[in-house]
Amino acid sequence: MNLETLMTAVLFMAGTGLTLGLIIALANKFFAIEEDPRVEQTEDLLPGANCGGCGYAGCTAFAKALVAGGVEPSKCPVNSEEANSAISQLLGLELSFSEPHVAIIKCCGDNVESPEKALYNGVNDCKSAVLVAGATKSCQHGCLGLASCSRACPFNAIEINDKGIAIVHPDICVGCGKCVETCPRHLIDLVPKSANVHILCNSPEKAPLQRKACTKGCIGCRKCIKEAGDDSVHMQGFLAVLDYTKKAPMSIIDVCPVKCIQPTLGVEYVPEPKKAAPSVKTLPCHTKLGIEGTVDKAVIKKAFAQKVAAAKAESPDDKEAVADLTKAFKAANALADKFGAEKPAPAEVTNA
Amino acid sequence: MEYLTLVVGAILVNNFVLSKFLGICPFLGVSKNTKTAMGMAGAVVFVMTMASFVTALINKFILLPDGALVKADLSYLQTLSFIVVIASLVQLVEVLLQKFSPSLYQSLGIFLPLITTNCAVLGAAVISAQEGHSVIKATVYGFASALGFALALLLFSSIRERLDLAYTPKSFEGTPIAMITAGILAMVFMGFAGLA
Repeated sequence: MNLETLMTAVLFMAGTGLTLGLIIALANKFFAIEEDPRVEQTEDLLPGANCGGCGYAGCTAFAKALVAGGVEPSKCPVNSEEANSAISQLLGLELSFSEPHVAIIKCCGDNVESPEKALYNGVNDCKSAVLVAGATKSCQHGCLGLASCSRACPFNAIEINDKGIAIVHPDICVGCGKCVETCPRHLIDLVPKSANVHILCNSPEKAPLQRKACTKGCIGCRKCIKEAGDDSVHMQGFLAVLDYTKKAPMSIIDVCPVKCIQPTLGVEYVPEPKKAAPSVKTLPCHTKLGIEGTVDKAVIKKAFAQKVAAAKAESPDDKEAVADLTKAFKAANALADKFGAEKPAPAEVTNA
Repeated sequence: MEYLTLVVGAILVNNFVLSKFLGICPFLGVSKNTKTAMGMAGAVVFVMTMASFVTALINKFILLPDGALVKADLSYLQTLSFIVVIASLVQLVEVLLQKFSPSLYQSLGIFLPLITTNCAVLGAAVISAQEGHSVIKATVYGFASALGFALALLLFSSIRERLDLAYTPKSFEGTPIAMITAGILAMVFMGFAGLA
C-alpha cells in the first residue's frame, strides 16, 4: 500500500460520491412534484394510525380527501376534538362534531355458561370454525372466542378472556369499526360511548331452547322493558334489544333474571338501596299551609311562617286566621311525628 | 443452455435467501402477509436487475484494469463503489418513478428505500464481479437471483399466514416459529442441489 494507491482510492470515491450526489440533487430539482402543503399539515394533525375507520385507505388518503373537500374531519373516529378543530381551521371548514362510538360484543355466554359441545381442532379462526357444522359452541349465536376480531383490531382493544369470550375495552377502543365485519355471527355493534348499559345477548331463540344452550342468554321475559318504562328497550322476536338513541336506565341490570344485561366494562353499577320513602297524603292541614303532603318539619315550619306573615300583612287584627294556621301547623307536625322517620335529635331539643 | 443453467441455479439451487443467506432482513421483516411480501418481491426484482446492470457496467468500464475509461486496476474498490452506486441509483429511481409512474410508485414506493443497501442486492453485484460475468450475463444473474428471492419470500409469507392461525405452543408464537419454518424451508431447497 503506497501513498499513490491511497490517493487514487480517496479521489475516486470522492469523485463518485460528488457526481452521484449532483445527479440526485438535479433529479430532485427537475422532477420534483409539487404537493399541496396543506396535505402534509393535515396529516400531521391526524392520528397516523391508518386504521381505516374513516373509510379511506389510510391517514394520508384521508388527508388528501380532506384537502380536496367534501369530507368532514369528524369522520375520523380517533381524532380528538381539538385536533379536528385545528384541521377545520387550517382548511377553512365548518366545524362539526360526531358522538364517539365504541364497539360492543353482544354476548356474555362464556365457555362455562355455554360449554363446547364438541372438540374443535381446526384453524384457530372464528370464520373457519363456523364453516365446520356451525362451530362447536352450544349456543349457535354466541361468541366463539377464536379472536378474529381481536386480530383485526389495529388498537389491540379486544381481549379474549380466560373463559373464551371476546371483550372490548372501551377506554382503548376508538370505534373504527374494523372488527364489525370480522365476526361471522355479527355480534359486534358500534354504540355511543356514553351508553353505560348493554344487553349482552344476540340469541333470538325461545326461552327453553335458549336455556339449554346457554345459562346467560336472554329468555325474553320482558322485565327490562317494564323497568325501563319507555321504549329504550324493545323486543325483537324473543330477544330484548336496546335502542341506543334513547338512554336506558341502569336499573334494568337488576331486573334481568339471567344477568345478561350488564354495565359497560369499567363502569361500576351500584343498585340503589330500596328505601320505603315516607309519604303522607296531602291533607287539608297541608293544603291550608300551601304545601304537598310531607313529613319534613323544616318545610312545614317555613310554609307556616310565610303564611302567618302573609296573613298579618293582609289584616293585622285577624287573630282567627293565625289561629287557624297554627292549628294546621300543629296537625301537620303531628302527622310528621307519626309517620316521619326524622325525629328531632335529643341534643337539639335540649339546646332549644 | 448456459443462461438456462445460470437462471435455474440462481433461482432454485443457490437461492439467495435459503442457501446463500443473503437478504434475511426483508425475508423475516416483510413476510407477515402475502400482499406486502408481493410488493417487496416486486421492488427487489426491479432494483436488483437494474443494480446488477449498472454495477456490471461500472465494473467493466471503470474498475477493471483494462476498462475503457480508467486504465488503472481499481477492483479493490468494488464493494465500496457498488454500495454508493446502488444507493444513489435507488434514490434516483424513486424520484423518477414518483414523477413518471405514480401507480408503480404507489405499489413499490415504500419498499424502495428499504432495500437501498440490502445485502442481497449488493451480493448479486459482488458475486457477478467475482465470477467475471459479462454485462448481459450479470444482468440476467441479478434478475434470476431476485426471482429466487421473490419465490422464497412468497412461499415463506404464505406459510406464515397459515402459521398465524395454527395452534402453536405459547413460547414458539411469532418469530421463533418463523425462524424454525425458515430453517425447514432452507432444508427443502437443499433438495434442489445437483439440479444445475
